Amino acid sequence: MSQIEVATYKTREGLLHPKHCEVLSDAVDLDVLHTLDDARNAGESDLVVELIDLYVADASRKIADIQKALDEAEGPSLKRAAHNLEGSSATLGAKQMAVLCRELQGLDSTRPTESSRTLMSRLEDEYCKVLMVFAAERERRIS
Amino acid sequence: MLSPVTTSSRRVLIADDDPVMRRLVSSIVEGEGFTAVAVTDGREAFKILQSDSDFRAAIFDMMMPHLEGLDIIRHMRTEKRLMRVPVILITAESDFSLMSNSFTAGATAFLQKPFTTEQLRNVLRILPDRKS
Repeated sequence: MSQIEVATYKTREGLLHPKHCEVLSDAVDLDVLHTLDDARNAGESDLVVELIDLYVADASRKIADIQKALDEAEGPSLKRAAHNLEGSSATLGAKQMAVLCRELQGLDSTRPTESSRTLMSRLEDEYCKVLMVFAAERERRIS
Repeated sequence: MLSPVTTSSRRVLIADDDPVMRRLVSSIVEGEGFTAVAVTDGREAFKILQSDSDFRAAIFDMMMPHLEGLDIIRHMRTEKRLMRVPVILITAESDFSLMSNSFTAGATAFLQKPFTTEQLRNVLRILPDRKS
């Protein structure tokens, strides 16, 4: 089961705790996401659903790349992966993800520090929230 | 004096290693009646341009593997066949000096992520005519 399928399942089955739902509302600016409908061309499938699927498939890989770059003190790889994830996150309205990616790019990547571990943990938490919101939005659009 | 380069091409070359941006930009470009030719990195884009210059415009991400957007523009501006192809650079950076360097290198337009569909459409609609 893919990450988006797990998140969709949890959303559909009401497995999200109410306190999660409260914080989830800040994870993605849905106004930003919905403006992307303007880019959909006549006769095409739902572009936002397609973009969400591409983002989810790519973001997990980018997060793993960021972690690897931090572990191996690979500054250029860290900057590239975080920069890339920042751009797509901001485009889809995941503003806090974008902010965390920006902070990661500014890290001293020569060695893992408490601050880099904390930032990485916050990024993973934020990604979980983003995933839940995207799953709900995806479900709403395809149902 | 530069020789006039003419094109009736409706193709736009897009290079971005981010699949989300590649798909989104392609969709906007196609919505404006162009054919999108999308590739995943700068080296691939430059390889295409070396054998085929018949593009109405090119849209490059600033930071890409192998060859960055700014570097491709610098190469393009030294080649007669490519020097008039308008290039739109896209980046998440908001650094003013970066924007300035882009124009100095020969970028036609600069878009900062996140940009709206309308912003990219507007840039595509005012692309300079390659015949001029």
